[in-house]
Amino acid sequence: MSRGRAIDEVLADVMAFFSFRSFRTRLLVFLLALLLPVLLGIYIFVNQENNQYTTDTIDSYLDLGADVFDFTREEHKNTLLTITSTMTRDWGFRNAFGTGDPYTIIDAADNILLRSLGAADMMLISSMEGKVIIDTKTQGFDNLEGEWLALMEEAAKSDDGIGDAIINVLGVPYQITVIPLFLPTPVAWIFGGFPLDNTFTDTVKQSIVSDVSIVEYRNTLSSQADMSFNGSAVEVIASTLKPADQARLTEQLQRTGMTYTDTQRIVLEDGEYGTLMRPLYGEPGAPLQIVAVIQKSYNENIENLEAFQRVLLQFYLAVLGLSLIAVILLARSVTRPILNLAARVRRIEEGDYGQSTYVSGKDEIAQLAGSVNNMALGLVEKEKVRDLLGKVVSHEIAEELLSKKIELGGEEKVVTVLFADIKGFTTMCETTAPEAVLTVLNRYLSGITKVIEDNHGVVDKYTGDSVMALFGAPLTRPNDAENAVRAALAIQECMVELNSVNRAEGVALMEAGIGVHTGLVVAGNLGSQNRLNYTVIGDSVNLSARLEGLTRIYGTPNIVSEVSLQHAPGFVYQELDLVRVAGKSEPVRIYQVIGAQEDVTPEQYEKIRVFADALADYRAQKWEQATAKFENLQLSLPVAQRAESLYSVYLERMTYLYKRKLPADWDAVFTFDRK
Amino acid sequence: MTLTFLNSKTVQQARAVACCTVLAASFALPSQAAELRIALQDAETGQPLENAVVEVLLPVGLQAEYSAGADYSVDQVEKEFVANVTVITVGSRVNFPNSDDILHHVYSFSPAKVFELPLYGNGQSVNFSEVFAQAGVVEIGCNIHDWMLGYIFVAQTRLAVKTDANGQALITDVPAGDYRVRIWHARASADSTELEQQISFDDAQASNLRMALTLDRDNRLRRAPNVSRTRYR
Repeated sequence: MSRGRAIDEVLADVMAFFSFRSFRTRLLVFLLALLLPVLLGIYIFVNQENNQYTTDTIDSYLDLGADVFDFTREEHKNTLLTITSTMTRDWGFRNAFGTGDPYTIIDAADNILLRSLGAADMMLISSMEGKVIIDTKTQGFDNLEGEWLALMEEAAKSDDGIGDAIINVLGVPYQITVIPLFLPTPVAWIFGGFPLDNTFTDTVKQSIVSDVSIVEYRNTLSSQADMSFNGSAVEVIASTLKPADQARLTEQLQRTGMTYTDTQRIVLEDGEYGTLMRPLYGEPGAPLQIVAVIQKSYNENIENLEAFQRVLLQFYLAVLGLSLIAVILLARSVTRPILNLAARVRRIEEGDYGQSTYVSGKDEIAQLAGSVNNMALGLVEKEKVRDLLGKVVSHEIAEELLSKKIELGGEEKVVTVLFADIKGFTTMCETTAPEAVLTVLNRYLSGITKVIEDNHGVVDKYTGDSVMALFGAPLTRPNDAENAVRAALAIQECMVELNSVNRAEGVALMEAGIGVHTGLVVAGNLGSQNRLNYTVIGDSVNLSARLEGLTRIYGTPNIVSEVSLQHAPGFVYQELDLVRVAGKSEPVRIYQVIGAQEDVTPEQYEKIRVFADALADYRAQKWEQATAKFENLQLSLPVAQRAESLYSVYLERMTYLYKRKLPADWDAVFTFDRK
Repeated sequence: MTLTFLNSKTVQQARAVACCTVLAASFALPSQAAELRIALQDAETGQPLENAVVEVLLPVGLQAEYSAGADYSVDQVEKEFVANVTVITVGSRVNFPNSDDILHHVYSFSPAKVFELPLYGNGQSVNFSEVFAQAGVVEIGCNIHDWMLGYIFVAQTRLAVKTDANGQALITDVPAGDYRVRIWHARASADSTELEQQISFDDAQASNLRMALTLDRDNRLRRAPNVSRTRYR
């Protein structure tokens, strides 16, 4: 369980590591992940091959060098033979030998050595039986012995009387050859030799371009099979190596022993050397063996290898650089259109549909760009429709229409309907040009509309200079009636502001008449299949319109029905009357909303109280008392407003009632029988 | 020019196994000198042995009667000594003419006669003035042509002959008596005791000497027309 989670965490880490911020980074990492192992693999492979190749090359150089060494030694030997052979047929030498005088013969021998220009270094002459006649090295034996005797016997057995061997002369290994001296039959053995010393190794080095050492092994072990040597057994006799390297060689050879077949690697001062041995003297396992050690440094090839590695690395850097540039360009070719598209989509999100994105090509991104452009065009169309709809109908209705499937029919709901009419507009039409009328009308309607919408009302329709507004349709809010009453008060304030503009322009001042009623209506789409109208219908709508009309009669800016008052109790109302409107049998108690409770002044409260007393007197048919109170109220108004005021309505009505004989069940309901 | 050396007699001390048959007839012919009929062959091949020298060794007292010097000639033809083996008597004079176009330098370091005739050519009359006064085998060579090898057998008396191509030779005029007879060949070992025989000579009947000689390998330098040393291996 915990292990599974650990794996999950690791996986999450890995995924987090690979979730890059940009497409370019991802592409780069991908490229590197792909390219680097390949390059690395190639590098390792090539390096390995190269190493193998250089090793093989050095080894083959060594083999060649060893062969050339053998050849060179053979040539040296032949040169020695040629010299001894030719010199001993020299008449002077023959004469000298003919004398039989050792001193003369030794001088003649020295003379030959001198004339050999260093190719021969020593000469020994013995009788055919092996008696030493002269020895330029004065080794001190009278008869041939040991290796000398063995060489003589070997030469005698051979068909051509010639033999060669490496013989230790006073501690130095000599390459020795032997031929007979003919006078004219063979009368003596002529031994000639040159030392395998530094001069020799230097000479050989010139022809094989490898270091050459002459190494002596003294096998102190009894077992012939044991090829290893102890410390004192290996000795470098001659070498082209520096003394320090000779010591290293000695030390190494003591450890590894002797082999003629394998190439050894021996580390000298300036690096590793391929090392090959060639036998000069002694069978393997013999007590004394002398070998030639041929060595070639790997350095030269390692330098070549390093040069190659440098070139390879430079090539890799170029490849990587070019690949990176290519990837960046590729990423840019992908990401730039995508970023452009993203910006475009963001702009569309913000509502800016213009400036279509141009993407060249036919790839997926181009297709996407085309789709985005098409989408933007579609959105523009839709937005245009929405915009237009919002202008023709109210914003909420437009939303309702756009969000729901449009169908005929409706639903019953309680809605507060507000009618607002601009009084005095008709009069203005008679005296003002139509364009100016429209301008002013639009200004008023715009102002009223804004107030309505600010109070969450929905303008249902404009009918000439009047506005019908709904509170509670299409969306029902808990305080629709309250919103409607507040809207009515706000419209009145708005009229004051608009009138100040009118006053400045010299246009006639306007007043609003507002009716508010709350009741059950049917809300929905009305009309035909092809042309619909979202609206509400019902008695409540009619009543609301009637109440608006009554404002002209009562001289009040607004009339609110009792139902609306009950739905919006938080305001100060003044009861106006109890009326029966045309087409309705039920009486309706009507009120004027004075304002929000905190806005109403004590004077206004006093007036409301007095009016309520007066109204009570009126309903109690106490005409004199009522008249007195109404008249008092009327006197509080400016003279210009007295004739059109609410109080004058009652004063006039009472003069009429005064003369009438009222029935016993007079309900004080005033009936309006015309619309 | 490379010279080829074939074998060395010092090492190959092969003893000459002589298989000799000496038939001495006992009936004598009065007032007639005795004869020695010789037939030699190579023991190894069975072929007749040419250029072997057989000498009857007379006692010192008889030698003077049979030793008379004479003039001889050893020619040099196509860089070879002709004849290869020349038998002379002590006190003889030998002339070494040169029949070749080039010069020769004849020499000998043999104890019996050390001499040299420095370079001389065809037509030059070279009369070797000194006589070969000491008996023995004189090996002559040419300092220019190392392969040139000739033998002058200086016999004490004229009772010495060399075998012909059939390996045969005849010594006449031998006084009757028992004498030692010595056989020499360039490739026969000088130390071999079988090469000296005691033979009885009778006037009435010729003595016969038949021997098969075991020879050493030819140990002289061989004339090589080409330079390669390995050619003859």
